[in-house]
Amino acid sequence: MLKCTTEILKKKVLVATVLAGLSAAAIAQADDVWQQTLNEAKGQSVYFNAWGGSDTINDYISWAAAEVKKQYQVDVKQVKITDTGDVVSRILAEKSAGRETGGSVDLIWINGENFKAMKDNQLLAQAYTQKLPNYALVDTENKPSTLYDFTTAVDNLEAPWGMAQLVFMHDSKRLAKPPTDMLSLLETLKHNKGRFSYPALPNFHGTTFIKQALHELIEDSSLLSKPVSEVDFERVSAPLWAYLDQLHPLLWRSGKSFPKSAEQMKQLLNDSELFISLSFNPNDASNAIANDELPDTVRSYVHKNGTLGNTHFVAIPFNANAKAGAQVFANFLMSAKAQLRKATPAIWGDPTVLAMSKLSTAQQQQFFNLKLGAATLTSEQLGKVLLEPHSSWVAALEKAWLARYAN
Amino acid sequence: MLYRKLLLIFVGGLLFALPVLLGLLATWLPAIGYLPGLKGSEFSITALQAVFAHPSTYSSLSLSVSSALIATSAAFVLSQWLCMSLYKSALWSLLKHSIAPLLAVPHLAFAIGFAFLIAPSGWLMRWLSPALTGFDIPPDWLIVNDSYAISLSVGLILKETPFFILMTLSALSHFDHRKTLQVAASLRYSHTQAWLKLIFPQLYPHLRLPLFAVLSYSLSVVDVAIVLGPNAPATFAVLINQWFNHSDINYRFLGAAGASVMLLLVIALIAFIYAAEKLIKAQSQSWLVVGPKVFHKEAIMGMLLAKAWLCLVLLMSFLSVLALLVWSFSRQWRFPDALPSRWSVKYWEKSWQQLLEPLQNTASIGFVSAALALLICIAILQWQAVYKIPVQRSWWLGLLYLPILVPQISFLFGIQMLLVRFHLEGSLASVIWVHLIFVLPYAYLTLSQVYLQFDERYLQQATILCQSKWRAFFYVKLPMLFKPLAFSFAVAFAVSVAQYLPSLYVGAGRINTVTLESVALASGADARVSAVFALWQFILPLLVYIAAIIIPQICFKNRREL
Amino acid sequence: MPEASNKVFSVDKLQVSFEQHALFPPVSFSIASGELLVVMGPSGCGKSSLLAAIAGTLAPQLSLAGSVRLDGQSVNGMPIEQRGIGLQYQQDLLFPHLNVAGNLLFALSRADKKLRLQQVKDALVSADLEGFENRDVATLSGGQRARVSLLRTLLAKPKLLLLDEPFSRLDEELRVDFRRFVFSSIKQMGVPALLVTHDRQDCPNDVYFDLAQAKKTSLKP
Repeated sequence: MLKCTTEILKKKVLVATVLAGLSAAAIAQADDVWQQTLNEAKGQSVYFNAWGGSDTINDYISWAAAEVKKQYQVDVKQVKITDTGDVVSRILAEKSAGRETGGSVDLIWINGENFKAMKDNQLLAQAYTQKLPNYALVDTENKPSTLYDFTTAVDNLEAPWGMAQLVFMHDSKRLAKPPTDMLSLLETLKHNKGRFSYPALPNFHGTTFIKQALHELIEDSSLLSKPVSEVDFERVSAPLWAYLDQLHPLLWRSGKSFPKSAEQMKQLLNDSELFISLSFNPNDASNAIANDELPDTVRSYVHKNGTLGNTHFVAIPFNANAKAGAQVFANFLMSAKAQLRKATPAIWGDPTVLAMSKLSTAQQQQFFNLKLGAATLTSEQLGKVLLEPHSSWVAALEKAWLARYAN
Repeated sequence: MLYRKLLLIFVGGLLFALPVLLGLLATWLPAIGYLPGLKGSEFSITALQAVFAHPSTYSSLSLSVSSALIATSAAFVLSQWLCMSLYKSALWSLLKHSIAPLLAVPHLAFAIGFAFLIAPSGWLMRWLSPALTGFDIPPDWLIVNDSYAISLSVGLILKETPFFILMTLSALSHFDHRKTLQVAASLRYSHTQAWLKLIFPQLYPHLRLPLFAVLSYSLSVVDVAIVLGPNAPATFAVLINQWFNHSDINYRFLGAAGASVMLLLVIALIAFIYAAEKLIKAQSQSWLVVGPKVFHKEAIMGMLLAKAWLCLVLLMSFLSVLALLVWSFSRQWRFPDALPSRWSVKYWEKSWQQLLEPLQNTASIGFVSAALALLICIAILQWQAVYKIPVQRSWWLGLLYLPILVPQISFLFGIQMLLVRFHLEGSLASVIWVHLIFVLPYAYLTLSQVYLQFDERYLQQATILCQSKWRAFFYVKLPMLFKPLAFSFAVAFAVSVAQYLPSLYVGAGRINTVTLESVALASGADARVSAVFALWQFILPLLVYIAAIIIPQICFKNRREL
Repeated sequence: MPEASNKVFSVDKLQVSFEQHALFPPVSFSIASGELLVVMGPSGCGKSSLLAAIAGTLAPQLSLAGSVRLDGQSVNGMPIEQRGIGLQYQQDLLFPHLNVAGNLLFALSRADKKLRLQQVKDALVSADLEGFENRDVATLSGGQRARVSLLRTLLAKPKLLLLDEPFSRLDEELRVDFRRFVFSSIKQMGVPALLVTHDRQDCPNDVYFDLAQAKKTSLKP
């Protein structure tokens, strides 16, 4: 009998060993692949095309580039662009000209419509984020926008970099009590005519404001996750246009002219041309105050039923010259160290894509210790994050808005 | 003779007209639906239809046409009136010498400064508030970005008038204006009548081309229109630009179609002005010779008004640049403070590190393209001088001017595609080449009058004396023309520095220039940073202009005639 | 009435200076209707400045002393438009954007159109240029241009005609013809004329005014 137990025990140990061996081999293989990527990336030059309109962001990217150079010998150069559309055009031109390799763009900061355009037209490299070790740290469970970029499936084609949420900023000196939703915004403007506006469509922030308004005013918000072709757009969006028709005469410049960008709105807020502005970065106000771009009486606020939120990513074009290097950089951007520094209000203050539960205790503590500025809302105060509508809504909204207000 | 002419056409055509034409073609193809790389690309006119179905198109077109016509004609009339009224008066030399610095200011930098100057929260208002206006917060007035494109037109007028004045001064050197006016005076014509009937008709043929160039620019300008022009809807050029950058990638077709429409618009308006010229010429034939007005009291008011206008133009331009300067050194500047409450050199310091590479690129691209342009111009002009070919009669010179008449956006998209196909994009050499295309016409415009008026007998004498054509050329003709050559070089350099779309499209993100950085940062609208970068964009051509004035003076210290 | 007192144009102690440095000694002379006075002198002695002083086109750096009287009036300080003095330069200065008729019409005062065209026609006939009304001035020969230019100056009926080396641009043969044309026109129109030159053959009679010496001199030794 003792002999039988030993046999069973031996068999169990054998199976366990084999299983352990297999998973070790799997991990080792993944490690091998990653090691290969690291080796390939050594000495490569990565051209990172990113919006260059903010000094703080440019500084952060310089820091990240220096780190990556030190650790992995990858040379990251930021190509400061005005408009992501420029870069998409360039990649498209390269595809049209048959340039399958050696493209001029290695990594691009992107999301939303631009991502969808690249994905639909096969302008992106193969799925790669699943190969990046730090991707495992991303909070894909609680932050669905990391998996669905404006309802377009990400499919591992782009690596999450940071979170964005629509927040409003008001100058508490000029306006003591900020509005709580779109309707109360209308009321507030009746007493403060001309002290709010939003950028004209198709500007990104302007489109988001319209989407937010639609979300709040539409009767059945579940329709927004459906493609716009499946709903009666005219009927469903009617409350929005009725609202805007009332709002526009109360806007800055009576709605005849609009601010060029959310960044310009900050300047207008500084000069008190506007009392309310908006941004995608919850830390924008504090950052601006620290930078002397805004007075210290500015505070952030959100609407009571939540505001739209999304994730921004970095993607690799199909013909990138330094794919390995780009992957290494993308991986670094998702590391706890880089995400922590990015989330530091004094540096940039862009919320992290990582899940706290997936980090070590020490790292979690560092995140909790981050001192938020006086003008920044805590994550509880930021409230509910609304999901973006289906990407097809943007085109319809833009067309209708232009027809009504820009003709 | 014919062989030489054909050779020149071939060379000129190959270097300059061909890229433009190929670029146009490569833009027209997507306009009619053909763009490999995009889904659903096949020949069709849906893109063109879509352009006209877009809700903003008609308003955008009318805004573009009205602002361009108003700005161009007002700048033209203003320049002619200033030249006529201030001719040989006390401010004549001020007029002549203020041109160069005004031309050195890049359009975008000027636009940013000007927008800040006249905005309701801008500098003028800050000086007046709250003391004179009682405003504690800026009033909600629609001045900049107004829906009728008035501030855009005014900005363009301020920037284009010095250019027209420069062209007029250069055109005046073509004939003996002084004696013509004296003869007319002896025939009892007042100065104004003499100018309108004798001087202006002789000037206009030389001003026709600059007029068309300014019209084309006013129609197709994007960066200045974004800063000063309306935005809902915007001018047509800005709209096309939005389409090219639109997140919906299929809007590229619309962009290409729009760019083709823009070309047709430019051609139509040029034809319109040409027809208007012929009509006016025909109608005025009898008026020209009807005889002097019996009662003529020379308007003193007219002269005073002209002086006031010149001072106003100079003041506005100067203040716009000064505004940028103040912003660049400010740390905190809120309305209604007349000057910043906190100062800092932080942004200048930071920009120096960031701009090291772009500055090097911009300077080298500028120097090389200006030098090449000048060499080519000298070659063409010398050939013209020897074979006595006058400027206007040569229709082939139209090839040379094609790049500044055709809107940039109409063919740069195509050029980008062509360069990418042949792996030529993203190198310093190709950026220099594409800059050269735009720099050459301006170099020619500013150099040709003076060069062709050079008395060839000097060269003949020198050739006899040193028994060598080349030595005569290098040791006699070039030194004698040093001043105009230096000035031409400075203009060419300034044109190269200001190029945005060419650097953007052809540089492919590898070659960074100061202007590219400027526009990228201007999109962030932190006024302090924008001001620093705009001023960097200005400093380079300014230094070259100063050098172009000082170096000849040093070299020819004891030679009064040079 | 003695002809001697019928002096339409006179100059009294006229002197032009540049920064206190006089260009020529003070000159005084007078010219009767239809009379031509030739002024000669070495180069650089200020011949053109003398003309400029009389015409009113003196450069601002130069200063004027003395008086100039035309038709009983002093013209000092009067603007060119009001002096009624005709200027004929070396260059014909024909306006290239007007045809021959246009150039000539330009000189005529406002009047009935037909009348003016007739005057132009008569003038062209007198200069052997009949039928040249619609010709482009660029197509004319040097001699023809010179004649049209003089016709223009004369059609304005000036009270005084100033000629600044008007023949120096023409070749020998043309010079003789044109000279004859000029002298006969002056006589015919009865206008006083002052001609500045360095060519002795430009003197119709043998008397000329030597600017450097400030007196009338004879060509004969």
